[in-house]
Amino acid sequence: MADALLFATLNGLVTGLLLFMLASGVTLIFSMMGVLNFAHASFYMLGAYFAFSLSQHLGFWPALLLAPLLTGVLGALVERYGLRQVHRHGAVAELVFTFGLAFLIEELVQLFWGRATQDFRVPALLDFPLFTLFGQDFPAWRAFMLLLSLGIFAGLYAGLTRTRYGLILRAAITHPQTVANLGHNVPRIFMLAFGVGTALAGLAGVIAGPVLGTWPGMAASLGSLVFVIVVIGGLGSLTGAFVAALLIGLLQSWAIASSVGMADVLALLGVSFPPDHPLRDLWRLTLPQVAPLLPYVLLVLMLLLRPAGLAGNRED
Amino acid sequence: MSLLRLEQVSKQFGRTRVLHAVDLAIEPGECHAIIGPNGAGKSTLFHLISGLLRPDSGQIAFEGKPIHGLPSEQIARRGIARSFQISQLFTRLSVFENLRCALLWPMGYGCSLRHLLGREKALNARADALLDELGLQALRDVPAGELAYAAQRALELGLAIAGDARLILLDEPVAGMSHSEAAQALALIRRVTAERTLLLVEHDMSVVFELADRITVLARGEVIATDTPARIRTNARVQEVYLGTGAGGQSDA
Repeated sequence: MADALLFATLNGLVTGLLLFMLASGVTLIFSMMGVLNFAHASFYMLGAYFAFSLSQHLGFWPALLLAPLLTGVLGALVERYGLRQVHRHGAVAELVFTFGLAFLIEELVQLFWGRATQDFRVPALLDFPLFTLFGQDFPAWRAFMLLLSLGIFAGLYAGLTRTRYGLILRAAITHPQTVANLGHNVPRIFMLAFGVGTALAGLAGVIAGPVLGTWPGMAASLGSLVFVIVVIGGLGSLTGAFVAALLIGLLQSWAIASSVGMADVLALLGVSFPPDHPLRDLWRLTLPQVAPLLPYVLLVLMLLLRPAGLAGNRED
Repeated sequence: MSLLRLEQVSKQFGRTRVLHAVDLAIEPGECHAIIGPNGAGKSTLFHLISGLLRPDSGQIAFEGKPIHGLPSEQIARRGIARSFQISQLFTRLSVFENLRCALLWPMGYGCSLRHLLGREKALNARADALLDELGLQALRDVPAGELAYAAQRALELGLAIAGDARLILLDEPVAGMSHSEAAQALALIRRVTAERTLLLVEHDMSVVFELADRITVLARGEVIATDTPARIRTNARVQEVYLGTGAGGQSDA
């Protein structure tokens, strides 16, 4: 039991941090520009595909650096020549634009790389079990994912709190117009922030591609979770998104690792059903089976009970 | 040459005419107040000068060069700073960080990821000097959103004067203040804007008549008069506008 819990917790942390790498970008872009970027997970997918193709020519490690950069540049261009133009036509137009962009990227990915899952693998250097405990392996790659995400967040935090750009960005998050009146070029700051956000999504794609699969549905499969996190955390709150991302990661991972089922709960209550009962499938549901449902259950409950989210008492 | 000159500036929102053929000249070193009943177009005028809005027609020139149609940051860089009617402080940043943010561009520091703020000695020294000037030294590390009202307005003034803007626009700098707070704020405004040109919108007539060298009266989007306070007081058209719209209660003009 203890070993299962340990592994589930480690895996949950890896997933949670990965989700936060995406959710942080969505949150940042939302608080600055007021746009919920539905195409954010598409940049995550692009990161994985770029890295896959680049790694075939250059090897994995250069791809780890180049793919997020490429994704970020693409993101900045989308902001500069897409979103900024659409912005004049209001929030709905922007929302629809990001939706359209998500579909466009998905179709383009299929056009260039096809529908099949790509053979994007963990680099040989890290393809070994880091440690084996109670007969179970913990892959070195997952440890790498964990450390890399923590390193990135530490760097981002330092960048936001200690540098000139960070100061201006934090100011622009709440009051872009004041920042412009102080002489700063706000559209350029937004473009850079969008680029950094999408580059982070790209990086998440590079490190997740080899384990979660590099396929055209990868954006949609993670994208919905990212939105659950952003809403549960409270729209616009980075701290809230961080807590929610870890919560969802751990919750799912624990649920999958557990062996508790409906039958156990019923047995506890002293209820049992004959094996040929018409609703027997319902009584046999196990927690691992309903694990994918949990984030959405949490989302619905959150919206009913605390619509503003965990950290959702938005100041100003 | 006037520091700021507006010629035949007009602005409409949909079919509503907000400003019509406004002429205005602000001379270097003066304190010029704009007064007028609610809806006269005072705030719109500020938005046009600071680049938040663009005029539909007409010219705005600062130091002889046209600025209408430029984005806000370009206008700010040429030397026009403004405060807002509604608090526009960076509520989550500390007082010190608010001022640092305002000082970055005027002191020649661009946007950079490589430069650590902690090492910018000149920037931090200037921000500290401003804190003293504004009397906010004790509140240095308090988030701006948690300041008392008067302190917030003082910080707003600080953001506006942080750079070396030649022209400072203040939108109702003492609105909502108690009598003693307003008196302090006035003394502060006088002190920190001594060498500069000031253009302010204000409802409180006692403030306007105490501070202003010249007054422009706006009503329904048009300039009715521009004159010294003494002559504005006795101007028949001004009295008519204030009494006629029932807004006379706000004034002792």
